[in-house]
Amino acid sequence: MKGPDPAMATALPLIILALAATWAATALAVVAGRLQADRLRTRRPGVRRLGPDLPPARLLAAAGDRRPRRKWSRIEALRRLSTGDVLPPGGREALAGGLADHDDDVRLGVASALSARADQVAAELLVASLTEQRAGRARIAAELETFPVRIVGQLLHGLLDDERADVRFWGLQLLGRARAIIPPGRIEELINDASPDVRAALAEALPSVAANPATPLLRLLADDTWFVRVHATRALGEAHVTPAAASVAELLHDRSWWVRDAAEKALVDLGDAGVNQALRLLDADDPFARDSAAEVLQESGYLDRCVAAAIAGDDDAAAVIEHAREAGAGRLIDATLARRRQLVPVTVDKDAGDLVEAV
Amino acid sequence: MSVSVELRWAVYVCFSYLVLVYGSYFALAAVSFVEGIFRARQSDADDLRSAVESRFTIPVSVLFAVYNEELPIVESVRSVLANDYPEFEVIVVNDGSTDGTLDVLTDAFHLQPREIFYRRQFDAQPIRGIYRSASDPRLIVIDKENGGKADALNCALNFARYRYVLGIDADTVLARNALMAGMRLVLRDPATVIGVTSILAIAEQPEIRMREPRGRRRIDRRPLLAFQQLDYARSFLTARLGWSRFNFMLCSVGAFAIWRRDVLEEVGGFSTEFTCEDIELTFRIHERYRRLRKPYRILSLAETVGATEGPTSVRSLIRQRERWQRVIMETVFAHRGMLGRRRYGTVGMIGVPFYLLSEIAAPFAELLSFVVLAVAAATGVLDVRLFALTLAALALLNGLLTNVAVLVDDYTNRLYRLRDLVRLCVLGPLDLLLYRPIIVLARARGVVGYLRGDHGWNKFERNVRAPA
Repeated sequence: MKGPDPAMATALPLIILALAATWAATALAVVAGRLQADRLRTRRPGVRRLGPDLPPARLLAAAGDRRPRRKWSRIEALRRLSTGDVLPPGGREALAGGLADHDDDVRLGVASALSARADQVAAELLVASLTEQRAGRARIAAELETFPVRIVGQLLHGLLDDERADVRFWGLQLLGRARAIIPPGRIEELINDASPDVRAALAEALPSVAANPATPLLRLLADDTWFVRVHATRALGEAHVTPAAASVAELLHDRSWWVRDAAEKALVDLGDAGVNQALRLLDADDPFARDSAAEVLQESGYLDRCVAAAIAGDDDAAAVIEHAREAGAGRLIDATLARRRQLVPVTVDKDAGDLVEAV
Repeated sequence: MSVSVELRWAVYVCFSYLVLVYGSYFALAAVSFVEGIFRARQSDADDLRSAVESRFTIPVSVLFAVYNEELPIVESVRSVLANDYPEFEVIVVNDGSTDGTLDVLTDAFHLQPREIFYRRQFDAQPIRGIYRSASDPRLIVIDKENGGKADALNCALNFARYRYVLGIDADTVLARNALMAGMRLVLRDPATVIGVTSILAIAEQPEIRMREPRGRRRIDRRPLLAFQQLDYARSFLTARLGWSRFNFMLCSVGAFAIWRRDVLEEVGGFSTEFTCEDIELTFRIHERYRRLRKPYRILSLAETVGATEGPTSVRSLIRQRERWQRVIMETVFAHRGMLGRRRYGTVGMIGVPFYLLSEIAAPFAELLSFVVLAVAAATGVLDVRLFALTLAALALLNGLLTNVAVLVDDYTNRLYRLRDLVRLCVLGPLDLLLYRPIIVLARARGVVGYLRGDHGWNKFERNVRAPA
C-alpha cells in the first residue's frame, strides 16, 4: 500500500469531486429553497401544485384522486371545495369521501376546513364522520364544537338515539358544549344507560343541558362506577348546587382516590355550604376526610379569613384555627400564617407569630 | 507477520468501519429526510385553530425538575405559561437548590405557601413546602429535599393531574406553540402515541434567541454554540426522525419529552439508579411495550419547539458530553437483553445495535481509525495523499449530513436568517477537525467514567445573564 493503487489513485479524487459537488448542490438547495420561500411569502413553495383558479371539474378530479403521491394536492383540493362559496355538483360526495378516508391526514384536513365553512352541509358531514370513524374523534369533535347550536343541535340530539355507546358519548359531550337542552325524559333514560362512559358524559353535560341538574346529578353520585361519581361530583360543584354539599362531603370517604379528590374540589366550589361541611368533617375518624376538609378550608380562603379575624381579636375564629390544628391541619395553618406574613407588614407579622404560639 | 502487514490489515479494518458507520448514517439520513418532509406537509394540512381552543384537546401537566437554576428558571416558566394551549398546569420541583431558585420564583410569580394533599404513587424525597402562584394558579412550586432529577420528576408526577406530562429542563425556553406542536400527533391517536420529543435550538441565552421573529432568528456567533446547534440538528433531523419512522426512537430528550402518564405509572416512573433519566426511560418503555406486544408509538418531530442553553466553554461541553456518554453506556448495558432479539422488533434488531455501533463503539473506533490511518501514513504504509483525501472525503460526508439536517430544519421551520443557514452549511465540513475531536475526547472520558462507576451529574455552569 506504499503507493496508492492506480485505480484508487484515479477514483479517490473523483469521489472527492463528486462529494464536493453534492455538498455544494445541497447547500445551494438550502439557499434556493429559502429564497423562493421568502420571495413567494409561503413556507412551502414546492408543495402548492394546484393552480389558483382551477375550474370545479378539475378541482373535483383532484379531490377524488386517491393515489398516495397525490395525497397533499388532494387535501388541498378538498379544502378548497369545502371553503368555496358554492359546492359544485358532486362536491358533497367528494367531501364525504375525504372524511371517510382511511388516511388521518386527509380526514382531518377536510374536517378542519369544514369547520371554517360552518353551515348545515358541513355539520351533517362532520356528524356523520364522528359516528363512523373511530380514530381522531376528539379532533372532529373539536371542529364541531365551533358550530352554533342552531345548526348542529338537532344533529347532535340524533346521536343520543344511536345504539353505539361511543356515539352517544360524543353526542352528550357536544350537546354539553353547545348548551343544548335535553328533555327530562331523555335524561332519565340516559341515567340508566348501560355504558358507564355515557353516564359519565351525561354527568359532565348536565349543568349545561338540564333545566334542573341537581336531581339527576345526585342520583349519579351513587353510581357503581367510580368515574361516573367523579364527573357527577365535579358537575355539582360547577353548577353550585349548594343543597348537595352534604352528599358531596360524604364522598370524601369514597373508596376511589379520584372521587375523594373531586369531592374536595367540589366542596371548594360550593362556597359556604362546602365550608360548613368541611368544618363538620374536621372531627371525622377517616384521616383522609379530615385532611381534605382542612384543604377545603384553605382553598376556599376560609382559613385566611379566620387568621385575619383571630389576629383582630375574634375568639371564635381563633377557636376554629385551634380546632383545625387539633384535627391535624397544623401545616395548613402554618402555610396560612406564612401567606399572611407575605401580605401584611412586619407589625402584623409579630401578631401572626403570637397567634401561632397562642394556638 | 511484519508490523507493516498488520498495519495494512488495520487500515483495511478502519476503512471498513468508516464505510459501515457512514453508510448507516446516510441510510438513516435518507429515511429522516423523507420523514421530515412528510411531517412538514402533514403539519401544513392540519389546521389546529379549533384544537387550540377546544375543551376536547387533551390537557397536559408540564414538569420541571430544578436544581440551582436561579438564572434561567423564571424565563423558562414564563415561556410555558405563555403557550397557546387550552388547558395545562405547570409543576416546578425545586430539588433542594442551594442558590436563590425558590426566591426568584417567589418574586416572579408571587408564590404563596399552600398545603396540598396528594397521592404518593412514586417515591421521592420529603417535601419542605408547597407554593401556588397568586398571579397564575396554573403554577405550583414544590420545594423538596435534594434527591436528583429523576427523584424530583417522580415528585412532580405525584402532583400531576393530567393524562399527558411534558418534562422540560430549567434552561429550556419554549415557543408559544410548543405544546400544541408536541401534542398534535397525540391528539390524533392518544391510544397509540405514548411519547413525543422534538428538536430544540441551542443558544447562549435561549430567552433572547426566542424573542427573535421567525425567519430572522440568529445562530449564536460563537463557533462552539454553532457546532452544538449542528450537532443537535444532525442528531434530531438525520437520525431520530428516521428512528421514529421505524418506531425505534430510543432517546426522548429531557429538555422536551411528552409521555402518557399511565405509561409512566406502568413502568414505575423515572429511575433514580442512572446518572440521567431520559434515555433510560425511553429504553425501558420500549422494552416493556415490545415484550408485552402492545401497540405504541414514540415519536421525534422536526418542529423547533424552543431553545435550550448550550455550554459556552470547551470544558463545560466536555463535562456535559462525558455525562451523556456515561448515561448511554449505563442504559445500553442495563437493557442489553434487547440486543439482536427478534421479539423486540426494530428496537432489538436495528435500534440497539445502531446505538452500540454509533454511540458506544464510536468514540474509540473513530479515534482508533484516525490514529491508525495517521500512523500508516506517517510510516509509509498508507500513501499520504490517500490519507489526506480520506480526511477530505470524511469532512465532506459530514458536511453533506449537515446540509440534509439544515434542509429539513429550514423546510420545516423557516426560522433562521439565510446568512446563518449558509454559515451552518459552511461549518459542516469543518466539524470533523474543529468539533468532533472535542466530542470524541468527551466520550472517551465518559467511557472511562462509566467503567469507574462514576454517577455524578457534572452539570455545566449556567451562562451569565446580563442584568435586566
